[in-house]
Amino acid sequence: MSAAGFPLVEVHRAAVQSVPAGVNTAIVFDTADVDQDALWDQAHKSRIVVPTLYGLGPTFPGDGLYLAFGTAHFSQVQESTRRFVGFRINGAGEIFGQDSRAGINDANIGTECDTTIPLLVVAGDYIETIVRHDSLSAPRDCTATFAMFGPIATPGH
Amino acid sequence: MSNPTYARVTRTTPLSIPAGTDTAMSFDTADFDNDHLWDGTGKLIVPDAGVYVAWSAANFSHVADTTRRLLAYRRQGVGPFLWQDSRAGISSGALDTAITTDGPMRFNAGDSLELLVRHDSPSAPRTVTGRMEIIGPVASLTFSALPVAWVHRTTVPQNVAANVTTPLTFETVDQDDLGMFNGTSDFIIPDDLGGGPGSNVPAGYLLWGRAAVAHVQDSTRRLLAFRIVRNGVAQPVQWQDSRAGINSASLDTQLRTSGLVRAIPGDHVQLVFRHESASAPRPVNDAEFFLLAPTALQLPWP
Repeated sequence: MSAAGFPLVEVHRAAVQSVPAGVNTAIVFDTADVDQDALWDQAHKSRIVVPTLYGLGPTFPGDGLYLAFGTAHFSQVQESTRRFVGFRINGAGEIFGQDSRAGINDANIGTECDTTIPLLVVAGDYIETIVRHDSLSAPRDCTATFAMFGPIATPGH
Repeated sequence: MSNPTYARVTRTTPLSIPAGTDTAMSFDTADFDNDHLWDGTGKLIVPDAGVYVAWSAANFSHVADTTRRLLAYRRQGVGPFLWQDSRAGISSGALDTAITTDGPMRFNAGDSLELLVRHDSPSAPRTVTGRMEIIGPVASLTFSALPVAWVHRTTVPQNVAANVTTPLTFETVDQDDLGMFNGTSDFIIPDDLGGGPGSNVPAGYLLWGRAAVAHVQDSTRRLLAFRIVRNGVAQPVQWQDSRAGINSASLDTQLRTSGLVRAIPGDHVQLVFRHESASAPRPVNDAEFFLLAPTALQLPWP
């Protein structure tokens, strides 16, 4: 739990993940940096699950607006096809906060994508970090970090 | 207690925008709007003074050119763009270019916020859809208890050497509630935040940074990120955002990044920039760096 008293999670993918071309792919995280409320789903390591309740002593419903942060590093390759990072809720539908760019065409350096967005979710929802590249054929390697905290508000009330 | 002001508006049908023109996005749907901020077209009207945070995303429909696409905010319909983000378009017959930008902004009661989109394709109009959302106030304009630190550079460009990860320096302090800015480039986490003096328990800080890199006709990498220097040792950069420079004789490349960084008292937090242009230093014409503790974002419950 954060100093502010609400859930805070940060996970990352340290070992490169091979991402196929032209496919929206969920990052499978391998390391938890902060996860005191156990939001990271150990059975599905791409997923961060919104808690039902949170808090020590008084508890509060987990529904609400969370801030999500994602960054992805695509390994170097000499091409300028698209790379993007974004978030998906419950495995389907819109990719929120999608941020795309041409790959950096360089012999030595990779391409980093970064995005931040509020996500309105309810208890039990899960959030995944989605990456994609559109290289013509080959898979590309990727690492990523995801962080989220909240709920910072409950819209509609 | 009441909930904070929160509004999210979306443009679902494509908006045709002319080339080379800053165009205010108009929206057709309010997804949320608990304080009636949306004016029914392109503006969100802020009800109370304070610091708000806005997030936006725009999807430029695919076209096979690499000219610039830009996303930015404008307050009150005039003045400088806020938290702009620009990049070369993805040259593809099938893939759109999706841009996001976000950042904190100051408002007086009744001020309006617009989202501006632009492309610089040689001739034809391009279509775009998008979304803008805002929440706040996350801090008061004059409140001194919340640990907000906010600085910028606007008048004198900072030359940055090639291939060197360089802390950006700032010349103007907008807000520095707890005296965190060291006068050049760093925010220093004070002892009374996080776990207290000598603590190794990190607390989370929300960071936003942006930089405008002067135009040059090359498409080598530009990178913006955050870095912590702990006990004099620079840690790996975090929340990095990189892109190819916009290959143009007149258009700057606007970089923006944000993220959650965990720091302990005594840490120096920096906004760093790097480019890989072949030889010459590149000027950063303006830049902005903002820090906010998550505690300031624990807004009242209903």
